[in-house]
Amino acid sequence: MKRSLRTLAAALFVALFVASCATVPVAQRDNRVQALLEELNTADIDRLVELSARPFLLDGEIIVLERDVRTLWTNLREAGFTFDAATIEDLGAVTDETYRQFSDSMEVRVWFERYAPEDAGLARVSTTHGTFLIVTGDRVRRTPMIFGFTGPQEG
Amino acid sequence: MLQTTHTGSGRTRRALGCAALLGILAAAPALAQDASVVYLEGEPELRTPQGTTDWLDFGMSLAAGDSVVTGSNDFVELEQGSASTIQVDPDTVFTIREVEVDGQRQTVMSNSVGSVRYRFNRIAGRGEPRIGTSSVVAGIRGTEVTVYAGADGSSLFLVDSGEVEVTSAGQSVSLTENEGVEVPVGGPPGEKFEVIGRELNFADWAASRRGDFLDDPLGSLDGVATRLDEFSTEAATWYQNYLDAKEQSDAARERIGEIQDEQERQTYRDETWRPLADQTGAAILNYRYHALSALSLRRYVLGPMYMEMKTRNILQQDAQYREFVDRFDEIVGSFEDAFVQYLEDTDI
Repeated sequence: MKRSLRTLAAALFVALFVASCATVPVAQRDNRVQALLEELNTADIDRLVELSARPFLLDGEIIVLERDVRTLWTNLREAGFTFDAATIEDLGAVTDETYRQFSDSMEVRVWFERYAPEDAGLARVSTTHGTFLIVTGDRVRRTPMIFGFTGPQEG
Repeated sequence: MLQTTHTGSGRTRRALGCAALLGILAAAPALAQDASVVYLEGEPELRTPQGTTDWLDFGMSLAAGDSVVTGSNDFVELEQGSASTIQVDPDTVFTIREVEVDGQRQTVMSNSVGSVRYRFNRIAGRGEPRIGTSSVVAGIRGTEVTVYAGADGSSLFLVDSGEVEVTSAGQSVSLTENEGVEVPVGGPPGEKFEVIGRELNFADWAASRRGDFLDDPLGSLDGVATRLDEFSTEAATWYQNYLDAKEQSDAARERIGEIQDEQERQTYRDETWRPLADQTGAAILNYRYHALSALSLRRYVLGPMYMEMKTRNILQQDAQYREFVDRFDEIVGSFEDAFVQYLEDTDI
């Protein structure tokens, strides 16, 4: 009896786990976004470009060209910037109002409507350089892509 | 995932008015022949005025409003029948637009960034297009010319054959075979120079433009602001023309309904209402042209300028950087005030 209860509990656990995996997109899973942050801090520039969606959103600016995305990561690296000691404080789906946290402009509103994917997530990440908002979505194999970021936020 | 929202009823009304009048524009015969893709390398993208993005492929046609975006390993060659050949280099945004000049629809082909090489044949037999960048437009006549657009918004024209007249800030320079000119954004053309004997490499030129921007970022911002102001004035003028023409056109349409005699009604429609409707359509084409040109300058020049400065200064934001950001915010605020009213979501 005890054994069948344990089996039943294990089966339920597995079912719940599978169900949760099926409902929470990769781009909104804590461990996958953490893996993305680790890659953003350590991967070479080619990999960073591969992990970056285009058009890319930097604060209120839409970056279209691959060359400019490459420049973005190259400059950040040369400046000594990484999402150092990154801690995900909050992670959830992008909403209709998310754009205002980047820029309260028509262009950024439309960027979220047109270019952020269905599974887009918004991560609030604290680092030694301040707090950043990162838009995640889609994936390259098991790693979500970065669609844009803003920060460090003031206050 | 997200619902499209409109910011106000006035904007919605204007959009509906535009849609009706764009129908008139669409019905008019296009002056320019569509450009077809005859060769490509890599994975260049096609962006349409409807806001869709797709991979470009062999045989696809580009019409007014379309853009080609090439990546670092991409290259595209387009042909307009026997009229012209257009080569779009890597890291380039090439756009075809239309504008009404002196009652004639004219094609404007431009690259906001990167470089494009054009070869136009005199046998085209139609009004030759204008070419340029997001900040400068040039008239051409039977020409082989390469147009470069730099990160600081400046433009470089190099002519292999034919004639090119480059106009900026109210001043013009005429170029003929083996001549070139550089034009700073918002400023008049520089001194023209001989191309022969002067080795020019786009990568070197682009690097020097980027270097100049980094040496004087505020100066570059001012140049962009000057050009945006010019676009703003043009767009506002044409928008007022549109409002005036539309008011008269609407009144004329009402008058048509009041005319009882069939022959008289047809004559009034052809001689009074249709020219007004055409004027209305031309005004829409032109205010949209100037607004979209401003958007290109914002997207492909101003935006990357911000990215350069932000990413270089993300850890140490000194007084010069803060001054840059303040000026940048000011320009973006002016852009929002001046142009958003003329833009549609599909433009973004």
